[in-house]
Order: sequence, then C-alpha cells, then structure tokens
Amino acid sequence: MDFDKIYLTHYTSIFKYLLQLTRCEETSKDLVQEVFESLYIQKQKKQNIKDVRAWLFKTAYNRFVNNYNKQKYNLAYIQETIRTETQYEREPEIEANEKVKQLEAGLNKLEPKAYHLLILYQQGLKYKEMAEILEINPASVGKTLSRTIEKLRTIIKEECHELFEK
Amino acid sequence: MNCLKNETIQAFLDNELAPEQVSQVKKHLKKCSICRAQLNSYKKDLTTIKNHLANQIPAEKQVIVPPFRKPTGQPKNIWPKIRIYAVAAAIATLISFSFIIRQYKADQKEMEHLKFREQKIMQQASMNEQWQERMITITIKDKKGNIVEQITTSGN
Repeated sequence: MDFDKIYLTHYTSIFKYLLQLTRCEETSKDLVQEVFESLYIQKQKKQNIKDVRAWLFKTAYNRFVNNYNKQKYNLAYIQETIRTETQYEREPEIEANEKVKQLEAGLNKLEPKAYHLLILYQQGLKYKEMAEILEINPASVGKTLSRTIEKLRTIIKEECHELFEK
Repeated sequence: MNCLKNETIQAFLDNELAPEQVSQVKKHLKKCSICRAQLNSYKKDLTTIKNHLANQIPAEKQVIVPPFRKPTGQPKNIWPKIRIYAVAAAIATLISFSFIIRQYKADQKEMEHLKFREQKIMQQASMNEQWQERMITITIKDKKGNIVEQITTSGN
C-alpha cells in the first residue's frame, strides 16, 4: 500500500488513539504528524513493515512516551494525572449519568498498562497487533483482556452494584 | 465439555478463535445456559466499555485529515557518496603534513649548523684580532725567497 493511502486510512484512528492518551488535541496533532513522518522516512528507505497498523500504533505510543519523557516525568504518574486532571476538566461535559461516572472511576483505578490495553482494544485492533504494540505474548492477550474486564467489573461492582445489570 | 473460560468467551467475541474452537464453543453454548448468560453479560460489558472509551474523546468524532506535510530538511545520508573523497583528502593532508614537518626539521638543523659555523668564525676572528693586537711580525725576503730578516714587535 502506498503512503498516501495509509495516511488517509489510518490518520483518524491514530489521532483518536493519541487523543485518548494525551487528552490534548494540539499535542495529538503534532505527534500524529511525527508518526507519519517517520513512516514516510521508512518508506523512502524502502524498509519493509510487516503490519503497518500495529507499527503505527506502536510508534504513536513510543512518541507519546518520548513526549512525556522529555518533560522528565514518569509515564505511570502522568497517565494517572492526565486521567484525573482531564476527568475534572471534562466533568461538566459529561452528562450527569451515574453509570458513566462509575465507569470512569473504575477505569481510573486500573493500572496504566491495563488501561492502555483497553484503549487499543477499543480501537479495534487484533490480538496479534495489540501483543506487538504492548510487547507481550500474543497468546496472553485474550487472558489479560478478560482479566482486565473482570477487574473493572469487580471495581465497579464494589461501588455500584447496578452498573452492569439491567 | 467443561464450561467456557472467561478468556475463551472473550476471544470468541473478538473473533480470535480458530475455526475448530469456534464450532466447539458454539456447540457448548447451545447446551449450556450458564455460559450463554455469561457470554451475553460479557457482550454487554464490552459494548459499555467500548462506547465509554469512544465517548471519552470530545465531540469531534469526524476528524478532519489534514494534508500530510512532507518532512523538510531531512538530513540525507551523503556519507557513502563522499566516503572515497574524504578518505583521499585525509591521506593527502597526512602526507603533506609529514612533508611539512620533515622540511621544518631539516631547516632547523641547517639553521643550527649555520649558527654554529658563524659562532666558530666569529671566535676565530676575535682570536686573530687579539693576536694582531699583541704583535706584528715583519718578514723580509730576498729575490730567491729566502728569509733575510724577521722583525717581531709587540702591538702596543
């Protein structure tokens, strides 16, 4: 697939993914440009990329990490602060829906890695791609995912019994 | 068949199971109401979580894709092209440097030699001067070249 086609196909998903990680539109735009620039360079060097989508997500994640490392912060700490900060910022936007609030609180209690896995899952990536991005065994993605969801259910059920009920 | 594991249900919902596993799961689901309930509950949870995560992004669901800005001023790797010239230039510089150093050393040696010679001449000259100041010798010879008379007088 040529570069322009890849750019048009994957721009939106990479942008949304970065937006979920950074919660900042401007930063996401810059990072997505950087990601596609590096892909452009790779293509010019005629280097073969097996799975372009997984490569793009992985590069996007690395760029995100580098971006925060530049500011000499710890990734886990940042993910926590971003999530809590943006939660407060976005609070008026969210409808006064108890379920949504509970779910948000539950997600915030998850480990950064598990939260990242859910973001990737929501983007509709395949297990193999998620494994490549997170550098884990492809066979364990399903298990990790189901455990994460189970954990989320437990956290939420502790606070709100009715969330996953009719 | 035992009841389905959570991860199997998850993989089944995500279409990540092998075809033979899928048929096995389907077979089991037909028989087992507990697993069916579990599957439905999982399905609902996943939809809730996915929707929630998708809604985390602010309203602009339709992302406008800007035209790609090609990276400008990309430092090209010109090393392979100029490698030969660079090596040749380095060797030429080395050789010329060694020549210059050798020449400089030879010049210095000659200068030292000249200085030494000059000093020696000066020493001799001063010795002669001293000698001349002390005495004058007058030699008188006849036509055949035989010394007739030799008068030596002190300079002062």
